[in-house]
Amino acid sequence: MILDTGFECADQQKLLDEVIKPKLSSLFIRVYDHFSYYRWRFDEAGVDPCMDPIDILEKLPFMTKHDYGMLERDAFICANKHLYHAETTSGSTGRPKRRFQSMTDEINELRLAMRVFAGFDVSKDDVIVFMDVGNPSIYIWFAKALENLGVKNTIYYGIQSDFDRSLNKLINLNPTILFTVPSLLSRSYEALLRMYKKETSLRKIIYFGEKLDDKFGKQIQEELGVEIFSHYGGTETSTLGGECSAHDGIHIYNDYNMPTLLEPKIINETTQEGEVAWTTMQIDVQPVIKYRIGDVVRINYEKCKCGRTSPRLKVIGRTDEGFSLYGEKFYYDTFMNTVYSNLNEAGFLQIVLSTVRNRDKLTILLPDKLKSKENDILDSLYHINELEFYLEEKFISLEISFVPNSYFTGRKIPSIIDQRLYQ
Amino acid sequence: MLDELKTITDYAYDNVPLYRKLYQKKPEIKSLSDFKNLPYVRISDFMTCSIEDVISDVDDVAVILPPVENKTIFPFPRLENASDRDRRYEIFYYLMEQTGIKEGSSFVVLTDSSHSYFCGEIVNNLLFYKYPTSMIFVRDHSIDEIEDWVNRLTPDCLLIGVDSIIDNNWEIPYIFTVNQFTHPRIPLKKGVLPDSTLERGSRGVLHFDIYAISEIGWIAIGTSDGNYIYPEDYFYLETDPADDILVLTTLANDLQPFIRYKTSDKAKILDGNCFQITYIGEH
Repeated sequence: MILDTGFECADQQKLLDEVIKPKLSSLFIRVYDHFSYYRWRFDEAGVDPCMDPIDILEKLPFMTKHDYGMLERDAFICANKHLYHAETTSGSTGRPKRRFQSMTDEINELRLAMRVFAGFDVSKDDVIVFMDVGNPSIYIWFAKALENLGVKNTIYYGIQSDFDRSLNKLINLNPTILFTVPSLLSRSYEALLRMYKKETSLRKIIYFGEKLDDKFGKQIQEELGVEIFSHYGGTETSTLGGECSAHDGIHIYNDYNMPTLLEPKIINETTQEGEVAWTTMQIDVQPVIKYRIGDVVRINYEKCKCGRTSPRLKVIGRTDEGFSLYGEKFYYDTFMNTVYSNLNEAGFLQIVLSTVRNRDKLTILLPDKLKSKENDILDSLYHINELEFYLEEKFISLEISFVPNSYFTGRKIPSIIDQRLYQ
Repeated sequence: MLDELKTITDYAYDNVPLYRKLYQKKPEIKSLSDFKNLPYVRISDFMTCSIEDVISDVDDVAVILPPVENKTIFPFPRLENASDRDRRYEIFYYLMEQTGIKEGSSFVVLTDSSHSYFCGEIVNNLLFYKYPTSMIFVRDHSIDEIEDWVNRLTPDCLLIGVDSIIDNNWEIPYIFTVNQFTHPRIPLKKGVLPDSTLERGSRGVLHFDIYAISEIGWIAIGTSDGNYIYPEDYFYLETDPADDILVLTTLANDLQPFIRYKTSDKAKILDGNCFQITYIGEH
């Protein structure tokens, strides 16, 4: 279903001139007034916020995750009494990144989320079960968007590390749509399969938070007979888009969020490839401009079979060194900083991810010389934001393995080796 | 207790501009009556300051719990740093301990749009303490429909985080509500569980009521005798003699301390860490 044909199927040039450019101009003037970071960036680039917005976009530098931290204080103060919510993600330095939101943010983002959910062809009679392991706050927001589309039955189902036991009652809910993160889907897949051997109403799986392995995706489609949709977004940007039933890329709605490619590679007349950076026009309190979220994408500007003219993207890679646990992103640098900052020294580290008895295992390889400090290092690692929860609740295990110093020298070794099932 | 009250008052004066403005000079707390001479702080004091003036450090803000929506007067979020969040979890654990409910008991939480973030945080706490929990979003469901969804999950405990669809013959051993005043001498609010559910009656249901304030978090748990128990290491409670309004001091909030905070509820303080609520205001 297309919720908003006036925007989703609009002529792209007309949309740019009549909607996107005025929204960008308004954003630039607003951020220049309220954020010392943006004022510095505009002044440094020699651009006036009242200039042509496309020229401004071209001239402004790309924004990094480190820059994002510089928005926090101004965003908080700017929100003042309209402050409504905060989301945090694990930062690469071990200090979480914070995104402050106002009630206006909540409403604006719900509007976009409704478009995306309509694209999944949800019906009012669907029973949608959100399956996850911890904080349900993101699902609350999804549930609100679905409620606005008239969907009556949405249930959050909390999973614990004993997957088989946890999933027992799920079958009684008989969902028609299951909404979850791929790593949780893969860990609970055998249990799901056993339950769904008998007749089921499940017809769609919507995933978000991380990439779904292609092979595993096909296996799910064949064995469960379901249609799979991807929801795409990030903590700093909120919802960006989602697949439609044509399953030919993720629709992004450029009247809300504008993509810019870093060093774009032209694939053909309508397709480009490169690292994507986002400019969020709908975010009230903490907007980003040309913000690099770390995804390498292929964007297709051709009209989709579904009738939408909005560009479609496929995520084809990541630029940062990191991995995901149940939808939560972790960065190699976080582990490096955690191990070595307390020791006040530099050194080597490798992360090996594996699946042991259906659970993720993190093995941290360190040089032998640190063996005497094993307990201190383990203690520091245990307290990495969010990792603590997964360890405490036994969703993952953590081990340190010491190797000769020569393991790290004399050749280039990967920072992260991911040997997990379905990754 | 005097030491704790002095410490938190000194801390608030030294770190939170709101209290510096309110007290004018650093209070000297040498006795409980010195403390009780401090002016009350009200939600309107928080609303008239800019946001950075009601907390100790902007850079420390780690969690914001959205206020209950559709609240007509002064919706205000709860602001926490990482330690405050941990203490809120400890308070939750304390409240659960009072119920005697076994670890691993399963919960279903009923919520609606207005209360969803608040209830979501309860779900988060329950899952953290290993209570398998699901949350059902209540819309225009009939009571039968809700009952059907709840029964499919066969929980040991039901937490009703909505204003309606409460009065029902739930066949569930433990019912939890939030701010559903249950004092037997005061007329019950529409839709509140009937008195019979306050004690294990013929249906064997036990009812617990969580006393919570949007901007402070959960504070106490009401048991079947109508008394609310609170953790005295975290809160100091008194009442305003003029109107019996409950006045609350948080002993362990770093980011946004509440010193002699005048709530909108009336209460009677009992011996020990107990109180009874005689009137509940808007939450």
